[in-house]
Parts: sequence; structure tokens; C-alpha cells
Amino acid sequence: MYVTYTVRSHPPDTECVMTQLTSHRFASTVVTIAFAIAATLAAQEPVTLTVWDWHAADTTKGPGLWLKNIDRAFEEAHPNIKIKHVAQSHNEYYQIFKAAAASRSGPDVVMLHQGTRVLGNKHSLLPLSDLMPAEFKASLVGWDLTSEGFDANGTPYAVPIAVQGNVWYYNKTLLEEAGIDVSEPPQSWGEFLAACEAVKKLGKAGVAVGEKEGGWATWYINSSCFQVLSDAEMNQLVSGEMAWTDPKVAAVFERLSELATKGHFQEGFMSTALWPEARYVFLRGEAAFFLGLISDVAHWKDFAAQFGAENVGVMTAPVFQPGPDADRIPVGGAFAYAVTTWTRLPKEAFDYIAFVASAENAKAFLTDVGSFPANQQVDRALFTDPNARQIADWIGAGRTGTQFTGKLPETVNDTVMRECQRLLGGQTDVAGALAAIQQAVVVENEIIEPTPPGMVIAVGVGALLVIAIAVLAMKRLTPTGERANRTGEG
Amino acid sequence: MVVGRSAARAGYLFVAPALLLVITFRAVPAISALLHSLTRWNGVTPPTYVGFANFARLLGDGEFWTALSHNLAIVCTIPLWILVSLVLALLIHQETPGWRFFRAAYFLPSVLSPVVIGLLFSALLRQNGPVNSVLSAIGLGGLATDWLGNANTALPTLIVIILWGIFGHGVIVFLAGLAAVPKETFEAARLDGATGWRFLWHIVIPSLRHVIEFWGVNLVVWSFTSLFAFVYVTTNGGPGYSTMLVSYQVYLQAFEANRMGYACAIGTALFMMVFGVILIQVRLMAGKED
Repeated sequence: MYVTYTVRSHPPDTECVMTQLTSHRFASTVVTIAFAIAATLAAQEPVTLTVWDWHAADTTKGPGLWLKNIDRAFEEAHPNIKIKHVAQSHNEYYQIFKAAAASRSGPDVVMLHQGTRVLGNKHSLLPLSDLMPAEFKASLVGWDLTSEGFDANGTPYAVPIAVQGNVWYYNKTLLEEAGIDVSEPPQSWGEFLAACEAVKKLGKAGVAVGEKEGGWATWYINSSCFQVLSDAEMNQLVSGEMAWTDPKVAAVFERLSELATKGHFQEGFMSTALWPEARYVFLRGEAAFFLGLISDVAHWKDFAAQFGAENVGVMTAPVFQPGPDADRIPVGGAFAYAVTTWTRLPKEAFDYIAFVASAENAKAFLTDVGSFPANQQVDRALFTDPNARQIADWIGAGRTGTQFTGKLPETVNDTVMRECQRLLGGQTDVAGALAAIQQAVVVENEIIEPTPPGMVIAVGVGALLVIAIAVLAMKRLTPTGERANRTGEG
Repeated sequence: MVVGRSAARAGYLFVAPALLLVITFRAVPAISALLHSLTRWNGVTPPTYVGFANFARLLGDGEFWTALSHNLAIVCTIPLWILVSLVLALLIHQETPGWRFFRAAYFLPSVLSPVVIGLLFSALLRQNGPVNSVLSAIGLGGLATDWLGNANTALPTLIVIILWGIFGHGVIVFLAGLAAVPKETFEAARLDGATGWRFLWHIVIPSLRHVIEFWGVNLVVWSFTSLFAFVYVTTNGGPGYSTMLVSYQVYLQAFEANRMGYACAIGTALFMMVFGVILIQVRLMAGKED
């Protein structure tokens, strides 16, 4: 720009221009040109983007293969960028990421679960508002799960790639064997219980449950809560403005307890891991119902492969409180990609994420992986599986809601899971469980008053004095001979 | 004098590497944890000073007291751990038939990672697992239960798993101790008619007092600080809080809830308690010697 300006300011005679330039200007011009050349060369120099996720471990199928193909396509489109995909263990993922964040090293791009996992780590993530064109944002759904305050208009910290959620699958063959008419799903609470009871008579379980980690109960709560709680009430429960002991919440927990009390879960469900063991119980045909996912795994594609699509049904939560929102399905917890604050390549990192989220790759995500993409420019009619089409219809009709427990702080969520375990194990009742959760919310929201530093110093000095006196007293108590033996003086 | 100084300098030089490691990896983190226990900190952004607020919260934290009570329950079983190892070591020392095989077999669990042991027992003890199948086969089907999923049996089961994982170490420690006891001591005791329980109580235990003290102190420290992996793999502290231990709570607060400051406060409290318990234990043992 500077060179252009200089030339235009003077007649197009190079010699004349050179003579009119002061030595300072000349030097500046040379430096600018040098920087421009250096910048151009630097831009062409190969750079490596490090991407962390939990899907890359298996690149032979599913999301891992999909990402591998994306990496290859991105590198072809951007010859100066190399993608280094690092697979991390899903179980310890956030602990490893936290260690990386503390040392400000590791990935440029990081995969995170939508919801609390994104917002709880926002101090390590780059706000994406400035990097993101408006039309790009408009093409995706799920921003409420990756933006400040669970508000789609808040500052986004991650780009949603997939849509994940919970729906109920049922084994039509098993239910028919138990004498249940499966032309329509057993949707009401009474029908659901009757179906579970009929299946139990066959020696099978009503519902395949994995409650070892406590996560299944939160899936159940997320799935059922729309019947009794509005979105505003859920937010009030998170913030502590509404009490967990409210009868509306109790209604959800009572149904959960009822299922356990009536013995509709498989034996040993308390020590069964939700992932993957509970899914295997359903896949083996040992239970009639499974609260599964809509994308990636433990979903319609998995079950169609095992039973045949025509032998599996999908439904929303069994309805104990009919209402306009009773058939909503909870969404959240799908994966999103974010840019770390310590990356030296923020633009390249975002370009990669935008490439992953593009309509073309979203289409492959849908057809090859069998998952619902966040990109809404993909034709959902591409789904051929009837259950997938049903889910797509629900999503298309806006019959979704944010996963309730996904908004809870980790400590409260942990309390919910543990209290549900206690409830299902018979250690507590609904009132006790809800009171404990309410207490956790109170503690989470309480304002901490710092102790005056003077008091801390005084207590510290006092403690040191006590220790010193105790050590001296112990030395005095130790017999002389023993001391001598210990010091080698004897 | 010159030789003394030179020897002292050499001594310092020999000690220096180990001292440096202890300072770097023990003292500095401990002091850092103590300072961070006075803050609200998520582990990434700068900490905010809160003074003793974390400790005040700890006093009212039911989960912490539950976890501590479980730790203390485990400590109460340590005499059993010692006794099992001691008796087995004695049987091997006395060259009971098959002692060579058992010496290797008993040590095998000790070379396995707690993760492997935890996974192994999780599979064995599930509702439809081999343990319950065997119980049913021998007519004890009524005892079959979801060992790790039942709040009443989870902690005792966890203790048995830990005992299985650690007793081999104890056997080796006691075998080393027994090897140092003059053969004549045991022979004389036998000639005097000491057998069974009396032999163990009046001859073996006094002969191995220092070894038992060493192993007991180790087990107490270990029971407070090193059981994390067993809990993580087998129960996640559940069902509910029935197998929650303090070390696992530290992990949950630090890495799941991002409450690093509070986790440091729990860690500091744990350190002080273990330190106190060890001091009392050592004093009691020293007192007996006096």
C-alpha cells in the first residue's frame, strides 16, 4: 500500500520518484517490502495445526474415518497446512485438556462436548465472534449450547458440529413376543409400565440401564422433564431461584423410582456401565426399551444393524403428564470444535473448524456416519432409515429442548447422579434425594466471604508455634538412649 | 577436622540429588497446595484470595466427612491386612509344601496395576459374573448380589479387592524380616512347645516388631493417599457415596468440578490428618519399646 501511494503521488518517472524520496521514506519502503516478502514466504511455509479429539482413535469407521477424510481434503485445499490429529482418551479427556490449558500448550483446535464442557472451559477458548461470518453462524444450530449464558446470541466459544440427544428405542420383536401391540409406541406411562410388566414375565427386563456412573438417571431426567418443567423453570432450578423440592421435580423423580421399585431394570443395573454395557443388554435382546442417542453410537443405525430397522421403534419419553411439551426431545452433549487461546494460528484453526462444519462434510456426516449434523443446509431427506427420519422430523419441527442437566454446574450434576443412584438403590427416598440436590445448589451459589489476611497470618504463625512446641515436647519425651541410637552417637 | 569437613561435603553432595527431587516434587507442590487452599482457583486463570473460606466449607461438607469415615473404616482393617500377610509369610518361611509356588503366586497381584485388578474384579463380581455363578452352583445362591453395585456390600468388597492387590507386598516384606531373625529363636520356641497362635503372638510378632511398624505406617499412608485407582475403576465412589474416599473427592473437585482451590484445601487437611495419625502411631510403637 505504501509503495503504491508513493508512486501515485509523483509522476510515473522512477528516477524522479527516487530522488524525491527522503532517505527515511526510502528506508521505510525497503523495510515494508521486506516485511511483505517475509510475510508472503511465512504464509507459504508449512504450518501444523494440532487437533485434539476422542474420535480419532479409530479411523477405520464412524466419526474417526469421517474426520480422517476431512483432514485429507483440508490439507489438499490448504497445501501449507498440515493437520496433526491427536486422539485422547474419552474418559480422561477433560483432565488432559486441563493440564494442557494450565501449561498453555497442546492443541490449536480442541473437540469438546456442547454445554457445560464448553462454557466451563471458556477461559481456555478463543471467543469466536470476530472470526465468524454471520452467514456461517446462521447455517448451524446448537449455538445456545456453545455460547455465553446458554444463549445463542451470547459470545460463542465453540462451533457445534453435531446434534446429539436422547430418544427411547424399543425392540418390537420382544414386545410382540410379550403380547404388546407395537403398531403404535407404548407412549403413555400406563402403556409403558404394562409393556415392561409383560416383558418381565418373559424373564427379560423392561429397560436396559447402566447406572454405574449415575449418568443414565440424568438422561432419564432430561428426557422426561419437559412434561412438567418449562425452559424458564429449568433455568431457575439451575440458578437456585426455584427449589428442587418442588412437586414438579418430584414427579419426575417419583417415576424414576417407580421403575426401579417395580423391578423393570435388568439385574445388576447399578454396577452396569452405561457405556457400552447397557447398550449391549439391549442389543442382546435382553430388554425391551433403551434410552439411547440420536447420533454417533447407541443409536438407530446401531440397532437397525442388529435387529433390522423394521424391528426397532423410536419414541419420546413415556408420558405421565400430558401437555404441549411432553414430546420434546433433549439435545446437547454433541461435539463441537473450539480454538484454544494459546494457538499461534487462530485463523487457520477457525478455517479448519469451518471446513469440518461445512455443508459438504455435514452431508457425509449424515450419510456415512449416520449422525445428525449441526449444519442445517443438509437435506435430511437423505435419511432412509424410518427411525432416523422420525427423529429428523422431530428436530425439523423444533420439538427439541436443551438438555437440562447439561446446564448444571459439575458439582450439582454430580450430586444429582449420586442421589439418583441412592434413590434407585433404595438408600434414600425422593424427598431425601431432592433435599440433598437443593443443598448442593445452595452451596454452589453461595457467596464466599474472604477471611481477612491478618487473621490468616495470625493463625499461620500460631500453627507454626504449636508445631514447634509439639516437636520440642516429643524430643523431650524421647528417651536419651533412643535419640543417641538414632543419631549414631551411642 | 579437615577429613571431617571433606566427608561432610561429600555427604551433602551425595544427598543433594535426592534432596533436590524431594524439594521439587514434594515440598514445592505441598507448599503450593497450602497456598492455593486459601484461594478460589480453577487451575487455569489466576487464583482469587478467599482465606479460610475453603476450610470453613470443608467443615460443613457432608461428602468430605462421609469419605473420611470410609478412609477410617479402611484403616481399621489394616491389622487384618498385616495378619494375612504375616501368616502367609510365616507358612512360606517354614517351607510348607508348595512354598516356592506360593511365594511367586502371592507376589503376582503386587505386580499388577490397580486398574487391571479393578477391571478383573469388576468382571468377576458382577451380578451374572463368575463369583455369583459359583455361589449359585454350590447352593449359596441366596448370597449372590451385585457386589459393587449394592451400597451395603460395595465398601467391604472394595476393601477385599484392595487387600488382594496389596497382601503380596506384605508377604515379601515379612519374608525379608523373617530371614533376619536367627533360626535358633524359632527352634528354641518350638522346643519349648510354642505352636500355633502362641508361636505367632509371643515369638513371631515381637521378633518382627520393627518390620510390622514399618509396614503398618506404610499401609496407613497408602490407605489415605493411594487408593484412587481402585475406586476410579471399580465404583467411581458409588453407588451414591458408599465408596467415596477423600483422595477420590480431591480428584472430583479438582478435575471434574474445576475447584482446584477447594481440592487443595481437602488435600491440605488430608496431609495434616495423615501426618497426625503417623506421629501418634510412631509414638505408640516407640512407647511400647520403651
